[in-house]
Amino acid sequence: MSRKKRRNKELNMLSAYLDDELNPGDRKQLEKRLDREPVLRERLDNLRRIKIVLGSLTRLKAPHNFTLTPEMVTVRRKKRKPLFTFLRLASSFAAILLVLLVGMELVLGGFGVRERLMAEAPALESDAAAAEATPEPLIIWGETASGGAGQKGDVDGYGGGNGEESESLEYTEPEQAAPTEETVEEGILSQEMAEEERAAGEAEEAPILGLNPDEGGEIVARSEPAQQERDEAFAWRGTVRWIEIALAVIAMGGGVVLWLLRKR
Amino acid sequence: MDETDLIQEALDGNLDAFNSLVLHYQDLAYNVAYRIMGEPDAAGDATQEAFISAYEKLEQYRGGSFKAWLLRIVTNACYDELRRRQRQPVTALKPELSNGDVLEDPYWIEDPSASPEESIEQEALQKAIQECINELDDKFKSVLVLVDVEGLDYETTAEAVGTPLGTVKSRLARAREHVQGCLQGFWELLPDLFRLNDEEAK
Repeated sequence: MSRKKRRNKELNMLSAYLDDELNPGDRKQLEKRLDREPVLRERLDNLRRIKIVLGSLTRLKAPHNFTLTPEMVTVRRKKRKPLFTFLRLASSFAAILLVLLVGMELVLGGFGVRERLMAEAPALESDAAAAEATPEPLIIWGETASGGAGQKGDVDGYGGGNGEESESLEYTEPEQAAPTEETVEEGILSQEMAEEERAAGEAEEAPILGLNPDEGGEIVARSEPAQQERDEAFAWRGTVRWIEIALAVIAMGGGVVLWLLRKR
Repeated sequence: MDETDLIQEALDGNLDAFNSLVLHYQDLAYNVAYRIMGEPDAAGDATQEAFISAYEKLEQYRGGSFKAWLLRIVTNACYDELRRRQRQPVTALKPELSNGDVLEDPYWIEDPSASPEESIEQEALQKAIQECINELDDKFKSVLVLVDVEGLDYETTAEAVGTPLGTVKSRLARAREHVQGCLQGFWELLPDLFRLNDEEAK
């Protein structure tokens, strides 16, 4: 090792010794040398003086405050984590929807379902009671006329009778005569009238009020559409209730998680 | 609110929180800047730049000693300012006598509590030490200022100047030796307090 290198190594050790930064082994070795080498001790003393002198330098106070103003720097915007933002938006949106939904339900009375159900319920009950009390059909095919005025007579039509006996439908063949132009015309006219009557008779036999006479022609008050509507209303109301619960869970859960994140 | 909370608040956009840190560290930062720059105005500029830079780079702070992180920014700001001044030399404002001579002592603002003689001696000594520090190369200067003037330990200093611990040790030793040689010319200025006897040296 050259003299310069050895000298630098000694200087480093002395400097570190001053600051108590030597490991125990090196420290012990250096202290032994300091005891027997006055020149080395002199160097250490000089370094110690320098350290004390430098440490004696006046501590200056800042001449003014170096605080920053918004004009000096671009004030950073608060960065929110994506999860934080998502939760905040989701819970806010859910809360708003929930409030709207509940509000609409209160204002509109459950979308009119409740009122409809309440109004229908007594009617349905009375219908059922009436059906039990008077088992007679409302419309009976093939027996008596159900017309408002006519009760009498054996009539094929519906409500057309007026209580008078109908004329006999027996048909007597007119005497055969030599066909003249008049008789030919009358014959044509009578045929046309007969066809019209037949057509009218067929029309009267056709189903009315959308009822199918093939079913036996007996219709008592049907309740299937009302039942179906009621079922749909209940189903719709159940769906709305589940949506409200889900929204409440999202809003409250999101709020709790946000609060925990903020606390952390 | 502790330092970590203030840093987090500052990161969240709270400038007042950062200014609390500024108020806490501004004396230290200014002292270091002054000892490195050797001139009050330059030190003030470097300190202000350092705090602005620290705020803008706050995201880069990855924990550990905030003091060391800040002092690294301060020393870098000082080096930048020194380089800028070398490119564009600035004439220091010095008081002139009525005959036009410039006073050699830059510490013309006297401490009113000291006697005139003491004041002159103190100023002369401070000036001598500062001149010796100014002669040092920047990388030696910062280590000497941080350890011997500001009393930081080796580890914090290594973090502040961004060098290994061994480098800090060797730079410090060489800087001390250089100042020792430099101050020999001013040794008569040193008060008795600094003249250790043999027993104290042991």
